[in-house]
This record gives sequence, structure tokens and C-alpha cells, in this order.
Amino acid sequence: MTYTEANRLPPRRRSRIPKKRLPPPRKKFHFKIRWIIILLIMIFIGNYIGAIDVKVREQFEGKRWALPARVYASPLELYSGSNISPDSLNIELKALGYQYSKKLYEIGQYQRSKSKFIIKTRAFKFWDGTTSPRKVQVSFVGSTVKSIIELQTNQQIPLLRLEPRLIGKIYPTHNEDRVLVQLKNVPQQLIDAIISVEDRNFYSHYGVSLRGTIRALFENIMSGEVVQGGSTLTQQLVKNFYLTPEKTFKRKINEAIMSVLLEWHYSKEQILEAYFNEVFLGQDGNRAIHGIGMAARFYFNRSLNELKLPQLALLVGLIRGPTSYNPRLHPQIAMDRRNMVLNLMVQEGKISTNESTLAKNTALNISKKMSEKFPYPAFIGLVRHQLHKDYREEDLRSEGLQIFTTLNPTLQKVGERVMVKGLKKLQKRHRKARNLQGAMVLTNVENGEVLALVNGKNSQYAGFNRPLNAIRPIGSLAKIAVYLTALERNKSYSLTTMIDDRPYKWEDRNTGEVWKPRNYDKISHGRVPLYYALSKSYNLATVRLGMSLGLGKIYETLERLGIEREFKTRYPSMLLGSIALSPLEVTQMYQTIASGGFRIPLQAIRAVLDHSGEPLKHYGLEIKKRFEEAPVYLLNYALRQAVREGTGRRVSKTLPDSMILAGKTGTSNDLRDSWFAGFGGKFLAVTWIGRDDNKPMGLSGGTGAMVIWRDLIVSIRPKTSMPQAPNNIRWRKKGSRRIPYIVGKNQDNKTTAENHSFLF
Amino acid sequence: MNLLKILFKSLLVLTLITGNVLANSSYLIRTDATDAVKSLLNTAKEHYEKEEFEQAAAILERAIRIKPKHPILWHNLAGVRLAQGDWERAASLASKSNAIATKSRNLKELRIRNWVVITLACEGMKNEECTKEARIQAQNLAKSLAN
Repeated sequence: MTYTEANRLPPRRRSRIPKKRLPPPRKKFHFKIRWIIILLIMIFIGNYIGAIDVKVREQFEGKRWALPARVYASPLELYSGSNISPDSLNIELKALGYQYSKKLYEIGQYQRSKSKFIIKTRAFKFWDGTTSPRKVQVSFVGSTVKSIIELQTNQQIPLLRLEPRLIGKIYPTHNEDRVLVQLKNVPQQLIDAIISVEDRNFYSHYGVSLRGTIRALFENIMSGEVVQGGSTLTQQLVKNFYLTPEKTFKRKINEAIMSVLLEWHYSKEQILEAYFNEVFLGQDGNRAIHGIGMAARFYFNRSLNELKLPQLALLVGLIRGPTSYNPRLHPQIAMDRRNMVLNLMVQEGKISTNESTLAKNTALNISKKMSEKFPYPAFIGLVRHQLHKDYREEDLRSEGLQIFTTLNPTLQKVGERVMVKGLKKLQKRHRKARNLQGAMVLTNVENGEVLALVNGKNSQYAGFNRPLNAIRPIGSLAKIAVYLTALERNKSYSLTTMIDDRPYKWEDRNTGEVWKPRNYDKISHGRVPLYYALSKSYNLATVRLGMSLGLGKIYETLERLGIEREFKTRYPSMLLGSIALSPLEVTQMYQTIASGGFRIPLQAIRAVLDHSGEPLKHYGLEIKKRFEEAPVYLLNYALRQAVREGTGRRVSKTLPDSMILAGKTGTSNDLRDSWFAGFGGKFLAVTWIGRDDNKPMGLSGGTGAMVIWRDLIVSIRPKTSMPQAPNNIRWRKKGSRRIPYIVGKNQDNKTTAENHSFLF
Repeated sequence: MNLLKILFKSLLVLTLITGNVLANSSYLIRTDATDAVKSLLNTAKEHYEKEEFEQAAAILERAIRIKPKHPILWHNLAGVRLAQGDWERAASLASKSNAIATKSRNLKELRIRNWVVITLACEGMKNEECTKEARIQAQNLAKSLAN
């Protein structure tokens, strides 16, 4: 600065000197300082505005809002032959916010006559494609979909995928909830309404409008209440978007400068779109409802483009005071306000008197307030756990990601019901069983998807996530690792190899401690067939078998089964399940058996999309062949015996004989943990029962966890079939039963096993 | 029809003997199943032909959710992963397809195809032993089909 001034002044002085007398030094000084001050002020203002300008642009162009991630359940797929009852479809449609309506005018409505539905479906963007809105007729025969017809073309459609249920959100730290809208998707009537009410000169002013302020003042005086605000839409946006709510003169100046700058840089359309997404429209507990898109959901449980004039007018009316015009608390005041908005629209020539009258005669139709307490905290916990492998917490909270999960809400509901009832029943039956808690994991055997996750008797409980974090000794569930290791050595072991169930003693060389395991019934059974020892869960036979195979080998098998946890010290007691795992880890382990030797990582997420629906990541089906099919096939035979004749004998009496089910009970020392892992058809379910304080509760795997597992199976009725026998399996008669054996290598050109696989 | 079959078989045997065949769309089979599965298979094929492999995989996984015991779906998914060069997954998927393909004669061709996929996947992994074994399986099966 001083540099400029020094440069500029000397020539002037030179030119003046010869003509005039030197002015008194003081005056000259005044002259100079005035200009410097003005210059300084200009520079200061310029800097100030420049700084504001940077802020205005950075924030407007950068990521404007932190958006919560949205978590969706697995969508319902309807196709001819799919098993779902008409009532279940009805429940699903209601959960998705479809309205039962006599006449179908709009998207999101449906009709039902007993076994026939006509639905106007919504559009939805999935990872692998978009569902377009259609008018379809779905007909049932009993609990099976018979046909799906698109009514416009009168053609059968093979597959109808409904939009998925929203099951959770991961909020930004300030709890703002928002669904972004694009201006092209905003109904014109909403724009008309907002301009009529809030800023009539919006399209002609430069951010601030003196005329608007004066007129608003005048009209407010005339009508005796605050009808219009003096600020332009741009000023309102600036106020909410950039500034703090305090009312100072400085802030008012800033607001004006920013408004002009905003108008300078951006189009009216861009400003309007930002306004629609920023505007505050309600409060729900600690959740702030921002933006017109979220407001449509919050007040009407519909998307913005499904709203009609009266509803749009109501939303616009709310802008002035979301609390005082809250339609849920003050319906009459909200209705008056809405009607006034409609009047203003008529006055501005945006709608006809007729349209206005029609809209005024419409009821408010506010939806029942949707509880924002999402019902599946345990499952969402699993989703977050898996997401953290790929996303930062910060991004989950702010990027507005759309997360598509594997949860099946129907099965989840069944699971929760079974758990609650089951725990009550067990506490009633067993005197010692008090303060029981439980966990259940239900997965799809074929692809490892987690269908349901139940945490204790209170599904709303968002605390300790037992399926993920209750790490408990697994008892006899560990035995499959021992028997599978044996069966893999098919030259030495078959299902009928006699193994030794006599007493056993092991001494720790370091401590001198002696370990003497016992059988559950405290009896030793001499020599028993291998399959029988597993199905009866004999401890002595298992320990002897495991020790002869080598502890290292058993740990290796556990790892191949999918256990990633590392065990520091290796004791023979692990053969009887002294190792502790979470229900989810146990499920992973049995998943490998249920799928026939293929390790399929458990998955809760199918895909992630960004906020606008662009695909980000697809979590494809992972699969690794970990075991030959034949030994797993033999193990499955023994696990079927365990359910029907072994430790599950008593409970399985109430299961239909036709169901082909395999599973294993597990019990930890002093009856602290009761486990059951079992599978049939496409389902695998693991149940655990115990107490949070880890005290004994008097239930074994067979008397506790399996009861709840059985109730689940009875409720979901899986379609089961015999697993297909690999080529190198031959069935042979042993006494009264047929037992499978491994014969040679799995050679694909031999087909003699063909028919035997269907014999039992 | 018969002639076509023989041609197909000899072609296959040829590719097996000469080895190293680039993955191409012939690893995707279309089939008659339920309409839902059929339509998904068609969509998957469209994606596959446009080389949108991840999309094709997602569609096939959707079909597997509807009909998990459908060996052709698993085979096609294996084909998609093969095309992506995801060798280990391709081989495992093909094994899975074989594990559920019943031993009936009309699925034998599918089993051959699966062994071809495994052969190519093993080649991709540069695992000679597994390549050799898979090729032998495929050849034996092809021979038994010819008989």
C-alpha cells in the first residue's frame, strides 16, 4: 500500500510545483489522508466481501449437507409360483406406505379383493436396475402367487420386485434428517405456492428486494398478522445455510451481501433447489426435519412427487413456523394456514378458484407419525460392523449412502416372536432357568445371507449385541471339527468305524494338572460306531478320537470351517468346546457344513448406492470350496441322526417326519450356555441361550436352545430335501439301517450312485 | 440335433486338448426354468454381452435367491467370474454347480462345461496340477457322454 502511494504521488507534486505556490502543509496532509482512508475502507470492504464470496461459493458448491445413510431390507420379489400369502403381501404393502383405496388414482395405492390385488407400484432404483412404476394385478391361489399381469399392456410379467423397506438410518452427528430433491422432480405447484407466499418477485430481484419488504410490511399491517415475511427466498436460504440464528445488525448486513453474491454466481433454479433442500419443516424429538423431500415423508409418508395441491400447500404453509402450524398438534391452525396459502395462489393467478375450493375441501390426511425408532438395532449393528470394513464412520454419517441389506422382515418377526415366547416357556418349565437371554442367527444356506438376527427377549434393545458379541464356550458344537477331520481320512475312518468311549485322562506337563472329561450321562459306553458317538455327543469317544487325529489338525479344520479367531493356547478340552465363539461365528462354522463344504462368508449387505442412486459397491456372493463333498456328506448324515435319534431326539418328536433336518446340540460347563445349530432346506439357524451374567441356568443344548430352534423351524416350515450324494458315495446296509460310505475318488464319469442318493 | 450334439462334444474335447480357450459367451447357457428365473437369465446375458460383469453377477445372484438348486445359474455365475479373471471364485462356483447337478444324463453336458470352467480357472491360477486333473475329469465325462 505504501508502495503504491509512493509511486503515485511524486509526479503529481512535480507538475504542480512550478504553477502554484505550495499549499500549506497541513491541508495537503488532509487531502492525502482522505484518499488513503477511502482506499483503506475500499480495500477492507473488498477483502471482506471477497472473504464472504469465497465462503458463499465454497459452501454452495461443496458438499452442502450431511445426509444420513439409509438402510434397506431385502425387497419382496413376487413371481408366479412364489410362496407368500395374500395377507403377507397386504402387510408388506402397508409397511411400504401403500394406501388402500377404492379407486386407483395415484402411484402408491392398491386395491384388494380376497386373493387378488391391483397395485400402482412405485419406481425404485436398485443396484442392478430400476423398477419402473406399473399398474399390476397379482392373483393368488392359496398362499402361492398364480400370476402377475401388467394392466396397461395386459401382459404377464415374470417378476415384480417391490421397493424395499427402510429399516434404519445412520444419522449425522447433528441429527439432521433430509432426503435431497432435484428441482426437476419438484411439482410446479409447490414452486408456485412458495413464490406466491414467500417471495413474489423471486424471479426478478437480485437477492434482496426493497419492494418486497415494503409490501410485506404493508400487507401484514393491513391484515393484522404476519402473512408474509420481508425476506426474499434467497435471504432465507442464506440465513439458514450460512448464518447463525442471532439477530444482529452485522448479521443482517452479511445476509444482504451474501444474498446478492449468491444471485450473482448462481441461477434462480440452483438457488430454489438449495432452498427446497435446506428449509426447516419440523422437529421430531431430537431429529430435525430438513428439506421438502424429508417433510413429504415425515408428514404424509409419501415421496414428494406423489403429493397433490392441498398437501403441497400445507408444506409451504409450514415454512413460517413448523411448530406453531404443526398439523399433528394443531390441525385446525394448520388447515387455516394451508387455505390461506391456497388463497394467495389464487390471488397470484397460479391456480383457479375452482382448484382452490377443491383443495380446501380436502382433509389434511397427515400420516400416522412413523416411529423413528427403527425396529432392528441388532441387525443394523451387524450392518455397521460389516460396513466399517469399507467405509469410514464419518462417511456413513454424512454421505447419504443407500445400503441394501439381506434382512427378511417377515422372518425377523417370526424369529423375534419365537425367541420371546420360547424364553418365557423355558423359564416356566425349568425352576433354575431365570433371567434367560438368547440370540438367534438365521441365514440362507446357499448364499450366506443373514436373514434374521434376534437379540434377546427385547428386540428394541439397542445395547449389548449378543449375536455379535456374546462370546461363549460352544460345548459340543465344536465336535463337528473332530469328526469331519476323521471322515476326511476315508481310508481310516467311516461312519461305522468303532471308536473308543472308555474313560480318559490327560495331564498338563507344565502345571501337572489332570483333566478327566466325563460323558454327559456320566457313563462310559465302550466301543461305539463313529456316527453314533457324534449323534449322542459322547465326550470320551470324541476326546480319544480327537487326540489320535492330533489337536493341530482339529484347529486347522476349525479354521477351514471359517473360524478366523486365533487361539493362543491349545488344550484338549477344546475338543469338547472349551473355546468361546459368538453366535455369528458359530453360524459361519456351520454354514460351511450346511452348504456341502463350501465356505461362504456370512453377509448382511448386498450393495451400496450413493445418495442419487449411483452404484458404488456390490457385495457379490463369495464362495470357496474348502472340503471335499463326500466327507461333508457323511458328517451331514451323522448330524441328521443327532436330530432324530441322538441328543435332539426328544425335541424333534414334534417336528414333522418328512422334514430332513441336521444339527448339533452344545452345552457348556455347569449348564451356563445352551446352544443349537441346525439346518434344513435353505435355512441354517443357530440359537444360544444363557444369562448375561454368565451364571448357570439349568438348560442343556437339547432342553433349551433346541426348543427355540424347533419352534422356529415349525414356524417357517422349510422345504427340505436330501442333499445330493457325490459320485463316490455308496449306500450300504448295516443291520437295519442304510449308511453312506466313501468309495474311491470323486470321479465324474461314474454314474452308478445315481438312484441311491434318494434312498434313505 | 444329434449331429449338433456330436459337433459340440468334439469341439469341447478339442478345446480341452488344445487347452487355453478365452472365456466367451458360450459359458452362459440359457435355459427353461420358471419364468422369473428365465427373465433374469436373459437380463444377465444382456449385461454379460455388454461386458457389465458385476451387473450380470448381481442378476444371477438374484436368480439364485429364487431358485438356489438350479445348477445352470451357478454355472453361469462361474462363467461371469471367469470372464472377470476371478479364477478362484469361478472354480468354486463351477464346483458348486456340479455338486447340485444331478447325475441325470441331460445335465452331463453342464458338468462338462463346469469342468472346462475349472480347467480354465486353474490355468488362470497357473496351477498345473489342478488344470490337469480338471481336464481329465472333463475328458472322461465327454468320452462317457459320447458312448
